[in-house]
This record gives sequence, structure tokens and C-alpha cells, in this order.
Amino acid sequence: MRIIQDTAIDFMGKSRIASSLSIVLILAGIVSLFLNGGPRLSIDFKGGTLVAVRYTEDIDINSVRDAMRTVSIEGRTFDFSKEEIKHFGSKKEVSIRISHFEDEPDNFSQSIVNHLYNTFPQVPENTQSFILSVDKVGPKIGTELSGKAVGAVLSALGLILLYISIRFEFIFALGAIAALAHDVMITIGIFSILNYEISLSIIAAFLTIVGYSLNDTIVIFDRIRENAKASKREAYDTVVNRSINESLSRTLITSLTTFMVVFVLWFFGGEVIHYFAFAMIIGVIVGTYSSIFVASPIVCRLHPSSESK
Amino acid sequence: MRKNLTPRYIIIALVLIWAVYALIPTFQYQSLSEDEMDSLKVKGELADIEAGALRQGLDLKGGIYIVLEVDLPALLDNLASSKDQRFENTLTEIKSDLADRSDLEFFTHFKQKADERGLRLLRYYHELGSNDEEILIGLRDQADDAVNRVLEILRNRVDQFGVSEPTIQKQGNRRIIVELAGIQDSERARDLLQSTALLEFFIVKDPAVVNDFLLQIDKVLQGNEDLAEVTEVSPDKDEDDSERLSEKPEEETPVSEDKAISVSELFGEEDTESDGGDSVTVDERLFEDRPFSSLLRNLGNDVGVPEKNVYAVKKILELDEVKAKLRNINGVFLFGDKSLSAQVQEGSAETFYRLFLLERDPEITGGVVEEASATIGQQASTVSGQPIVILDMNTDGSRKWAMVTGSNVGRRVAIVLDKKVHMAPTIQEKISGGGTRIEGFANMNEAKDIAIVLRAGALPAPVNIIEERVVGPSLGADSVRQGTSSVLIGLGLVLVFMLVYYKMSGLIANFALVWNLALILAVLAALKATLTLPGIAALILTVGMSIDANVIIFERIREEIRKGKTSRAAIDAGYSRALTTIIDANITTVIAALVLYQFGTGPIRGFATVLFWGIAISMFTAVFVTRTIFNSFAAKSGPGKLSI
Repeated sequence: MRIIQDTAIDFMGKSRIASSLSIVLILAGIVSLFLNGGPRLSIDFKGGTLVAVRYTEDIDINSVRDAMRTVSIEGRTFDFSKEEIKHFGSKKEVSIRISHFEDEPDNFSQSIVNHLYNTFPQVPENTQSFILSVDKVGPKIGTELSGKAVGAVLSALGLILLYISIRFEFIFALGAIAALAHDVMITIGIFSILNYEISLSIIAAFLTIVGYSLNDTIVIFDRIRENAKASKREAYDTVVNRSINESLSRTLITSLTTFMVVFVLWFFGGEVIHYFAFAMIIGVIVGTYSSIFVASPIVCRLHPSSESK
Repeated sequence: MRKNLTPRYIIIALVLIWAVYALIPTFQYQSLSEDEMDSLKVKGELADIEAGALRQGLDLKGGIYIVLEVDLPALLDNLASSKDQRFENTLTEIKSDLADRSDLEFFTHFKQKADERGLRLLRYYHELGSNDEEILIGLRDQADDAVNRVLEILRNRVDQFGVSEPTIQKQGNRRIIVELAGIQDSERARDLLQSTALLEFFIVKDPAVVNDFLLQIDKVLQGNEDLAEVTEVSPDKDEDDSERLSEKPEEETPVSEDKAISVSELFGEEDTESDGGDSVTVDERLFEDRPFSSLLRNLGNDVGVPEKNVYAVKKILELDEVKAKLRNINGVFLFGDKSLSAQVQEGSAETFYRLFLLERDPEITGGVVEEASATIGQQASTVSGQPIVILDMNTDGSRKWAMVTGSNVGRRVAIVLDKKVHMAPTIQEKISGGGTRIEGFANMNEAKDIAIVLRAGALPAPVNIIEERVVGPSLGADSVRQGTSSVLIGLGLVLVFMLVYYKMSGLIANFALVWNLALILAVLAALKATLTLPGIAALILTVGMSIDANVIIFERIREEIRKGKTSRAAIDAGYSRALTTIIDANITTVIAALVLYQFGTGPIRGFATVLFWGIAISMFTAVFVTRTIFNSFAAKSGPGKLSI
């Protein structure tokens, strides 16, 4: 069985339309980031407390919000009703996120859990099955992590650039990096537009997207390298077009199988990896697109033989 | 050219046997029911199986992940001799500087601040060296030593607490990561880790002194313009503040029922006044007269602080004037460790904390404890049936204890754990022999935990929890269920697709895929790596990678066949061409995985580990295992009949 018969699509000829599409997507993301004042970072980076609990019956978010209006901890009364309170997965589950504040009492998260447990009657017998998760990140850890995350992404990009420059040529490395930047910017933009949060696991997803998109790009580059060697007389854009067409079948099948897997993960994987899988879905789609319409045209433009033509 | 394929098959078979062998404990462990687990535990065989089985991360099993940081300012404070106000202020300042900045190195910053404030290190740390350089080196050594001791003590405590496979490790210079899988009671675990276990015995100041001192504080506050600020700053929300003040008179009413006790005299006046029942004016006047005492209640022999006022009282006690006065009378205020609830009016109960005024210096500290054990009080005694902790002191401690109790009969001694008064009994007679009984525990678990921390010894410096992640058992179970089912569904879809699209060759790729997953799990189990939720995600990603390697090869072979090559030649050409592509493509992903591992904490590392092994193994499978199988098919079926 073959889905893709021998194709001869003029990908390079369509790169102008493609680049306007990319620019529109990226700009939309940037505008959204600008309006939202930057990406929405999770407590992993900002510090804060996230408490998720499960009641035995469906619970109304507004009543939880009311309950959080007066919480007394160690002789102080707090109003947490303005914090982010929402369902976590099902309607029985509630998550409350409280940003870090000065002079936080000790065991503050436990007090929140106890308050939630004691306020409503629809609770399991022991608090252990009531607590889904509690995360508390100090502000110092948060800033450290942000620094580390940026460092990780940059060093990964640097190393990859180096590797491609050695194995191919420098212009290939430029093409690949441009494609990566494109993918990650679009994914961050979409996260911002949908108002999804960027947590530590989303950073992992970004790096996986980087790996995946590269993988895809390099398979095409490899073909270009091979074909360029075999037929030196041909115009470079013809070579690039032919290479993309020849590897198109592989590109689509791999993307399809990977897509199937991350889609299932997104659909069935549960609340915790839902957003991770979502980032991956975007990454697979955008990554496949960018190998063909971003990385390859850049190599084609920058290649010396296409200028001398 | 026909290669002999037998050695290749032998290698493949050996790897397969090893993988199955490595996974046996995991299967055994997973298939155990709870009853079986219990019975194996009794026999002591469970630990063996557990050790061999693939470890599940906290996010799957449920448990607690805590990052503790040794409180260096507090350590420096402990080490310093002849401290003064200026020194303490500087430390407080440093502490707040460091709270949200990670770029400052503690000792460099400390030196800089000390220079700015004109603090001479030699004055406070003369034992550590004769000049600043030496002292700083000495302090650094002390800090390193303290971290290592904390690590050791925490290990000890956790071991005695009885958790299976706890992880306790140092991160960087000052931090300790503790992972307790399968722990249910996060509050208890947190207390166990964070308790400094500093046990001290103080003599309680006489009630007359306490009375007098409370009046002194009232005077200080009366003339203090900062007072308004204090009470305004104290609660977090302004609203709450005003509420607190206006509520006061009603609460005042019942306070002095126990007038016989000296402390109550202080409240006597209020009693009569507030009996009048007119709230606001009385309150204001009362507040003006006795700003501090009005926050307190009389509880028999003790001073009680209603829970709502605790914060305000703490703030007042931190005022410089109050601190100076405390120094004058050589005293220190400490709160009780438990709240108690008392009837204040018909039906309405209020929660209090006791507040004690103690002699400034402890008579004895916990270093003298030789043995601590939790037990149930004996029948005929006053603590019959209650959980108690029995302390045994060493010779030195016993001698001191006999002296202290001998010379203070009739006074009260406060047993203080981690700067909180646990109990303050009256000394009935001289205690010789060093045996001491601590009572007043809520339940046996609490008594046990306190015995554990006392046995394991006190931490050289307090530790702060800077990161804490608790995963409840039900969320973990959800994740396992959803993770497993999505892996299986995703895998199923891919297997079906490959079979339909590539037929016989698809079957080979599918075999490779399943074998891949088994091998990854086996390697993880053998490496004692931990499978986390992101790890499962990486496993799924590996499915994609593994399929990709095969797709690249198959498409190449198809191309070669279309060019008119025989199966045999097509396989050879396909593999050799595809190989460079696969290597280039995968190495870049390996780079990403390695960087992730390097930068990552717990969950990210889990992801990176699986991704790394997944890629390595899938490359091996694609170029070695499937090729061998392909070759033997091609050899049997002859040219042109490759099912691809």
C-alpha cells in the first residue's frame, strides 16, 4: 500500500505563500504575548502554591471561591477568592493556585487543604484520598529554574547548530535553527492565545519538539546533500524540490504515526500530561511543515549556486 | 556475498533473554495483590522483588518530594558569640536579601554586608580564626559540615520512620532533596523532616515577674507611636485588623474567672469594665491603657493568646524596645506547641496558644539525651494509658538535671522542643538518674515521631522547605491507569497502521517496536532508574522514533525496488543509505535529551533518561535486529518477492 505516489510538487515555488502564513501565525502569537504581558508561567517558574483536591460529588466553583474568601491561618485572615480557582479534570476536582506572597506562614499549603476539607461535607473519610496534589515552590527556586530553562534551550540549540555545521554545511544549520525558532515561537504563541500555562513539563515538550522538528528537517537535508552530490548540474531549487518529494512519503508517514500517538496521549492521558501532549501535537504539525517550508527554502536561498544562477 | 546470520541471531536471542530476565521482578511486583504483598513482607521477600522491579516515580505511586535548604543565617547566628542588636539586624537583612535572589553567594554577601555595617567578624567568631579570611574559611567549613550532618540525621530519621526506598541526597552545596514514595501522611513527614529536634529545658519565670513584665510592655506600647503601625501591619488584610480590635471586648469578659492566680490581676480591671457591656468605647479605652495585655487572656497559671492575636503578639514581641526590655530581665518569650480550646462564653469556644516567659538561657540542651523511647504510660500512674516519651540522659546530663531540679523545687520547668514549649510541669522533687518523662501527646504516632527525632539528634541548623510536591495516591493511580491505557491504545494504532501499510515488513517493524519497548523497560529496571509520568510520555515518543527509523529504511528499500533492484540488493542499498540519515536525525535528538537531563530536576530527568535510552535502543533495533530478520527473509524468498 502506498499513500503517496511519485510526486513532483514545486515546494520552493510555494515558499512565498508559506512564509506569509508563518509570519501571520508568529505575529498573532507575539501580539497575544504582548497583550497578556508575556507567557503565562506556572508556579514552577514564579513560585507559589498549587493545591488540587477531589470531592466525592460535583462541586460548584463559586462556592469554593466563597469559601476561600476568609481563610484563617495562625491568627491571620486571608482572602484567596481572587486567586485562580478552577476545576481540575472533572467537576469533583478543584485546583487552587496561590501566588507567592511575603511572610507566608509555615505549612501554609496544609492549612489550605484543611480549610477545603472542613468547609464542605462532600469529602472522603480521610484527607489522604482527598488530596490530589500539593505543589509549593519557593520564589528562589522559581527564578533559578527559569534561568536554567533558558540556559538549557540555548545550549541545546548551540550544540545542535555545531553538530549540523560539522555534518552538513553552516547554511543547513541556519535553516534548521530558523525552523526550530519558528516551531517554538508558534507553539508559545498558541499557548498564549489559548491562555495555557507554561510549566516545567511544557519546557520538556518544547525541547522534544526541537528534537522532533530537527529529526524531520535532517531527513530532508540528508536527501538534499545526497542528491546535490549526485547531480551537480541541476539548479539547486530543483534538487531541493526533488529531495522533498522523494522523502515526502517518509515525512508524512512518520508524522502521521507520531501524531496518532500524541493525539491518544492528549485525549486519554489525563489531566497531568494533557498540556504536554497538546504542545507535542502542535509541535508535530508545525515541525513537519517547517522542515519543508522554512528550513529547506532558507538553505535553497542561501546556497551559493542558487545565487550565481 | 552471503553472510552467516547465526551469530547475529544468537546476540539477538541473548539480549532478549536478558530483557525478559530483567523484567521478571517487575511483573511479579505488579501482579501482587495487597494481601500477597503483606505476607511477603512478613517473610522478608518483598524487599528483594521490589529492589529488582522497575521503580515508579512519585507522580505514579504517590508520595512526597521535598527540597530542604539549610538556614545559613540561623547557623551563623548559632555559631556567633556575644551577639548584639546590630549583628542580629544585619543577619535579618541578609536573610531577606537572599529570600528571592539566587545569584548571591551567601558568604560573599555576608562579608560585604558585615563590612558595610562595620561589623567586625573577629568579635563574634574569634574561635574560628584571627582574621577575616580565616574566619570566612572557618564559617564555610562549618556550613559544609552542617549540611552533611543534616543529611546524615535526616537519613537516620527517615530510616527509623520506616519508608521503603527513600531517596535522600544533596543537591548543590546547601540543599537536600528527600523523596518519600508511597507516603500517605504528608503533614507528619514534613514535621519529621523539618523538626530541628532542639530539646531544651528552661526555668519558667515566676508569675509575679511575668505580670510585671506585661505591664512594662504595655507602657512601652502606650508611648510608642509605632504601635498603630504595628497593629496595622500585623494582620495581612486591613479589614481583618479592624475586626480584631472591635471584637475584643466581648472576648475579654470571661477572662478573669480564675482570679486567685496572679496573672489574672492584670486582667481584673478589664473584667469589671467590660462587664458593663458597652463595647466600642470600652474597647478603645482598654486598648489605650493596656495595648499588649488586651491581646492576651488568662488561662489558669498561664498566659494564653487567642489564635487570632498570635500574629499581632509576635509582631509586638519583635519590637526593638520590647527586645531590649527582655534582655534586661534576662528573659525570653516562647509559645506553646499546641493550641487548646477553652470555653469563653456560653457555647462559644476560643482557640488559644500558651505564651511563656522563660529564663533566657536553657538549663540543659538536648545533646545530653542518650536514649528516647515512646511508650504507653503504666497503669497505676497518672499517665495511665497515654502515650509518653521516656528520656535517658548521659552522666553529664543526669548530673546537671539533678542540680537544676534540686535547686528549683516548686518552680516550673519548660520542656522546649524546637523553640516551642511542649510542657511546663512544676518540679516536685529533685530528679536524679537522668530519667525524664514527657507527656501530653495527641496520639502514639506523635510520641513515636518525637522519640525518633530526639534519638537521631538535633540538626546543627534549622532547615527550610523551599520546594514541596505532594502527589496523592489517587492522582498517582489515575495517572498510571491513563498513562498505561494511552500507551496501549497509541501502540495498537501504530501496530495496525504499520501492518496495513507495509504488510510483512510492517510485521517485522512491529516486532522491533515491541521488542524495543521491552528492552527500554528492562534497561530502566536494571539501571534502577525511575519511571515517571513524563517518562511514559517519552516512551510514547520513542514509539514514534522507533517507527521512524523503520519507515526511513522501508521507504528507501521501496525506492530501490522501484529502480529495478532485486530484494537483496534493495535491502542492502536501503539500509546503507538510510543509516546515515537515521544517525544524523537521532543524534540531534540525543543532544536534546542530554541537555534536558543535565538541566532537569526530577520529572524532567525521568523524561530525558527514557528518551535517551529509547533512541539508543531503537537505533540498535532498527539497524541490527530488523536487518537480520530482513536478510533471512530475503535469502529464503528469493528476488522480487519482498513484502513491503
